Amino acid sequence: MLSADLLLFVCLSYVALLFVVAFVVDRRAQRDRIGWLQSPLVYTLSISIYCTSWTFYGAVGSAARSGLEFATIYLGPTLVFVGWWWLLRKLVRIGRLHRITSIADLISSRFGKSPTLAVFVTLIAVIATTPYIALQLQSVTASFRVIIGDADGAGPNDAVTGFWVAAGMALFTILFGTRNVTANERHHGVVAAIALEALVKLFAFVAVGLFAIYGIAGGIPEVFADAPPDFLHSDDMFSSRWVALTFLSATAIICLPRQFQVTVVENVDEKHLATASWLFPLYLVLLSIFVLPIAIAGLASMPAGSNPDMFVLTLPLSAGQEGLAAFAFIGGFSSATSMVIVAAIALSTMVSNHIVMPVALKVSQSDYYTSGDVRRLLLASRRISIAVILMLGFIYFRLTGGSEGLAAIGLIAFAGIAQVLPGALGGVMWRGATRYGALAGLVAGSAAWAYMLFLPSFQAEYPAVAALVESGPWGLAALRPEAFLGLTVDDPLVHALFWSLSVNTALFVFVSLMTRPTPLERLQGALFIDVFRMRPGESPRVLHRTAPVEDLFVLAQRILGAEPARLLFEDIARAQGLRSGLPVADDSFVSRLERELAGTIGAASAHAMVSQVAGGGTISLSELMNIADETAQILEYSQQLTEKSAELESTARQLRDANTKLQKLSAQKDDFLSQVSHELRTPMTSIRSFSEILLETPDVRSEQAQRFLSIINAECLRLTGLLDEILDLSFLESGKVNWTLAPVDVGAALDRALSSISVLAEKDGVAIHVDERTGGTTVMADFGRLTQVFLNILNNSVKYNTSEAPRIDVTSVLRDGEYVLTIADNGPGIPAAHQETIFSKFGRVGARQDVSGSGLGLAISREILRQFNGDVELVADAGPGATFEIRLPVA
Amino acid sequence: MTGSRDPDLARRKLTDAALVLPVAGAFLLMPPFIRVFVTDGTVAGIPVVVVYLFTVWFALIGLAGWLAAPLRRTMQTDIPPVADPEASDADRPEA
Repeated sequence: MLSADLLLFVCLSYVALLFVVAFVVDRRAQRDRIGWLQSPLVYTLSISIYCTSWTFYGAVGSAARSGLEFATIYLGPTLVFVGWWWLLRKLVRIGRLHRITSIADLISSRFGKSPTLAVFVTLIAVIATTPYIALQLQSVTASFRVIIGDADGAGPNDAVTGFWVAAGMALFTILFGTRNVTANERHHGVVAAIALEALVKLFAFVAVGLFAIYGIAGGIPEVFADAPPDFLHSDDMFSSRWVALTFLSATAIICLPRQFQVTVVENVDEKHLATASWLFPLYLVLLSIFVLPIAIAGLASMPAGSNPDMFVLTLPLSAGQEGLAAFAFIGGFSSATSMVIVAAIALSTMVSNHIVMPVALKVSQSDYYTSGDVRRLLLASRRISIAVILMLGFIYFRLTGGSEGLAAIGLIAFAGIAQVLPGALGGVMWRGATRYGALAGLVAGSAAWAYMLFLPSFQAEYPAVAALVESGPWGLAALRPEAFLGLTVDDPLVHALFWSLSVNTALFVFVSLMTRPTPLERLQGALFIDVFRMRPGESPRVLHRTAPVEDLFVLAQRILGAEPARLLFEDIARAQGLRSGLPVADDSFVSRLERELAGTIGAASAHAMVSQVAGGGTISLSELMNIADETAQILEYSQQLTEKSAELESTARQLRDANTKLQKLSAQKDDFLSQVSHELRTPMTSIRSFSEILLETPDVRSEQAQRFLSIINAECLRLTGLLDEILDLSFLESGKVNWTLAPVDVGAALDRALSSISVLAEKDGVAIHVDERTGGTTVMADFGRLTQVFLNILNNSVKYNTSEAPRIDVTSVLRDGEYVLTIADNGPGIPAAHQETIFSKFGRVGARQDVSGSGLGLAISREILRQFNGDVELVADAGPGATFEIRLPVA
Repeated sequence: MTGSRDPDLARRKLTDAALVLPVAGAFLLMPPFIRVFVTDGTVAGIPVVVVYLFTVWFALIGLAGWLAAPLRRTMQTDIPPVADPEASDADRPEA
């Protein structure tokens, strides 16, 4: 046996180690150096607070009494975690998006932020958890007694040990669990300490297990050879109790406040769930696999009548392995303390958010809504709650002290908290669920639980309770707690579970169908149920309300603290695109603020406080329908699809158009090339033939040779001119032209063109009449190029005029801010079919080879004018011949 | 997800498998099916039902572990980018 002093020393050293770890990690967290704490491994280890001292000691006891039954407690969570995609993922997403602080907050928030529901769930949680905490105290004191070899109670008083353990845990929890008021912020120090404890308890249990197999039995087959006959009870094991226990433990892993705290509230990354989905079951199976060997070895080697709940300690002790026994004791201590710490944090959050806050708001109506530091109130109420909860656990432990079978209390607690399941599950799955349904189910279910399971658990201590269980209240046998309405189920737990959950679910469904949800409930319901369909960051703008932004800022400061509130408002202002100052208090801002505050004080209180400032707000029914209605959502989805396909169609059409255009351009290019070749061929042919004559005829007369050479020269000039014009045109068309346009006196340019053409006109006998002239008009252009255009068109009119008395009329006027120059001839005119082609390249009318010119003149002119933002057109049916109209914007 | 010709189908099969796993586990571990293994026989000295129970248990964990990695990648595409901006960029489905 170990001496009490030595054990106390080891124990205190271990506690000191936990304090140091928590302290150091908290300090590092302040400097942001805790990357490894955000890992999925630590997340999984913190979930393993599921394995309390009830697992550490009780599982072996359960196995010694009823064989394989212990496994159900770990199979349920295994099934829930390997099926995380179903439910846990949704809960974690909802928890993160809506800043859920506890299981009570989840249910209250879902059902229209109802404070009443939150209070009820909190009360159930406290009632169900108190015995559980008592159980941990009991296991620590009992194991302490066992390990110092003090079976008959001569040593230190249980009450004293229990009190100091409770006080120590309260101190630890208050020190490291109430560092910040925002529930979603991780308690880094606590998490680190718990992860360490999770490893210690695993290693301790595995060590004892290995010792039981190899140190005592001498191998795995020998272990089972030592088992008493029918040890496994396998013949009647797989009955309704097996199913009920598995279901219960599956419920517990979701609904227990401490499990909800570590799995949902303190989750920092949804992806950690993927790792936990197999790592946590692995942790469970590693513990479970050693339960049977320890139980069998205990039964085989310990004297009859020893407490199987303590085999984990007594087995190594009886074999003289005191070090191992001490390690096992520390393991059991770890599993008890980690559970108590997290449970106290979770419960204190619930109590302070859902009971103390609303009461404080009610009592000092004017005060707390408008002034006062809410943070101080919250922290104080959390610290006091922790102390009170542990005190309650201690009192319960003293009242029921030393009751048999640890496992029984654990299962009672599980069944109590299971009453939360229909509301929670229905809330995130079923649109039709209402707050009255949830409330009715919860109240009826917990009443049934209290009457059929919790009350009978006292029958050993109180004869009155035993009499009631035996014969029913007032002797009414039909109302007996363990055989309600005469229904006899072998097992009281299965009986109570059947009745309580049936009544709970039936009332939940029935009342939900009979009542109408409020608009806020419908909104919250849609947000929760369709959480994966909501685009993050886009809160639907349904609740319309506003408030002076200064008031909201004051409110945020009081709840979040000055600095976080300032950062939050700055962040929102930046998101709204404001450079500085306070954000605009629009709907989405008020909603976001309420969500942020809910992370600290819970959804119901946050809603109450924001409503006090911003008013209850109106919920737009049509917008609510938009998001609440499933069909609307599908419609919206299909509408998006329609939009997408319309978009695709228009893209396809544009592509088709572009393709047609390309084909046309390609045809034009081919056309152009063939025309260019044709144009080049004519002069080339004559050059070739004349040069051949000169080469092949030796005695050409010199004047004839002279004539041929001058023809060759003329054709060469024509070729050069043609090539120059092609180059000019391609330069113009390429769009690379970047003339600096200057104010040009358009009259001067016309004069220059007229004087240039006058020689040719005189030669052909064409009379040019300049009728009306504008004076001193300036346009933005290039003088030389403008002259070239005028000359070009005048030249055309002269060349193609085959009239007997050829005449050209030149008129210029100002029309609508444009300079309009009309050049009309009395020639044959241009057939309607060619009126547009003349402006294209080589667009000569007919195949008139007798006229010199490349056929590019008009195309070039038009290009130049367009560079000046003007144009040239053929005016249809304006006179006997062709009438060109040149337009230029006046500068 | 990227290797498959139809990422939607692959994703659906994956999530279906994730949903089937706990159901299959419950079927295998609950009565009446588990009673099949209640016999007097032993495997390497261990009662058959114990071997069966832990085998199914480990198999569930193994399958869950096997599904976890691809499911995790699937999650990355629908998680708000604020959670982990780098990861969500890395696994965007090709447009």
